[in-house]
Amino acid sequence: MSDDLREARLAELLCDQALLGLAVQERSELEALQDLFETGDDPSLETAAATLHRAFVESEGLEEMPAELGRDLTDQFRQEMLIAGPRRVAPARVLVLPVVDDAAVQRPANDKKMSRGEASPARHTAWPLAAVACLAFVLGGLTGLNSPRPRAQRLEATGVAASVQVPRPDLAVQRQALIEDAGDVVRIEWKATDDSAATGAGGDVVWSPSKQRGFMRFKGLKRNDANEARYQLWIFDQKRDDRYPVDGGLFDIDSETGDMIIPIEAKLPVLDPSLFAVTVEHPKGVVVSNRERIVLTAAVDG
Amino acid sequence: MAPALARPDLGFVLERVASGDEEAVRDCVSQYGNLVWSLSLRLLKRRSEAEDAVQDIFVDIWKSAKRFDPAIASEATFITMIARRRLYDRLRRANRRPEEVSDDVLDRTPGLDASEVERHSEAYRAALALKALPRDERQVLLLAMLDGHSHSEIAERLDMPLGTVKTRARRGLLRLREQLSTEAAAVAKRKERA
Repeated sequence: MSDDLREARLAELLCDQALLGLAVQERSELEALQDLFETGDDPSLETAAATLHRAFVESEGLEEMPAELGRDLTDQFRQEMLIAGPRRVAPARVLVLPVVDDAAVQRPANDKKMSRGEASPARHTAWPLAAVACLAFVLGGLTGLNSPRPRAQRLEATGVAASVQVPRPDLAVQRQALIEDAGDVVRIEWKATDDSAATGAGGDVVWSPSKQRGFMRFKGLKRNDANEARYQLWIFDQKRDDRYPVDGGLFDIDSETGDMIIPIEAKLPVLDPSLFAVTVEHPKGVVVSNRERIVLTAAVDG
Repeated sequence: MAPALARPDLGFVLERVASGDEEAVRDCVSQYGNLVWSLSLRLLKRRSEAEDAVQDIFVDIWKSAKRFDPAIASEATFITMIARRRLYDRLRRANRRPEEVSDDVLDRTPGLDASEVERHSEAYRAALALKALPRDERQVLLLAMLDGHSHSEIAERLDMPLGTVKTRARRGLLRLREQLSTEAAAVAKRKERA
């Protein structure tokens, strides 16, 4: 097809778009031609058509929308505002690094505030321990000393020797920076419920009302299969109706250890948080949680 | 039709919706609900379908609110654009043939008996622009836009070759755009003088 023909086709598609809209295939064709001719998205024809269309409908007299539909819309809007579509919040990317997970290092049980993204004493000892463990594992293999052991124990050993997933460092850095920079950060420890996904889980959540940013840090939260179920954060805000907590985003735990840092992506401003709750939901997320599976909660005054 | 009550002190309702203001959601439905409902009913004819469509449209309005630019179109026109896209998509999916319209409907021009206040409105300028179009171009535009007829249906309805319909649609639309921008420029000039 010559450029002239392509240009004519572009004009035709723009006209069709303005008059009757385009099918998916035509829309792709239009975008390709706009890219080719570097014309960008020109809404002027569609705007002209919409102006005229509106003028006609208004001149004929607008029909009153059924009151019930108006109420439904307002309710639906509120729910849509909470979910803003089944948006997948990208879990914190993990890097595969040849370092040992500090959870694999014997750490004081009460040291719950330490993140693997932060510099920690355990971190500094990790390399030598990993090296020793590697050596032991290799030697064991060579000398046939690796007699069959309980599965858990075997996994622990290979886990030390092999790559261990740790949270992307920049999330830990961002979290720390938020804590240091914002003067109003609230930090609350997660409390696990009886749900099986939360057995032994912990961590914390930080939120800054002024920056409208926050992070969730998890330790030991059960890994999920994103095709079956996903985690979803809900934030109860004292400034809002508590029947409609703010959706804090869907996320996955895809780290073997269940240790991750996830940025909060609140769909609405959260001014005065009272409770953060993590539920297990349908993979696409839900508009309103039935709260059947609440796995973690963090109450601001709790 | 009286213009929708706006709250100038609160700014554009779409900007407030985009910022997550729940009150704006109610205002948005209150201000533009009748427009969206009327557009839907006019094109889809069936109330149950129109009800479904209105819900889809408002969800789309919410999601698109942040793209609203008052320099390009008024809020009502922006919302009309979103509504039209959804409605034509529905018509296309349903592969429904629009109802026949009478010839006198094709000679309509909206809102030329407007009051002095309304003459400053976008709708009035659109009516003037439409009136300035040649009849054959106007008919093609009206059949497509208002009733959702495809080019081939218009060709059949007006007994014209398909190519002619496409040419007239395009010419009419370009002329409409030109007329609207000329009218808009004239209004701006009048405002400047005032």
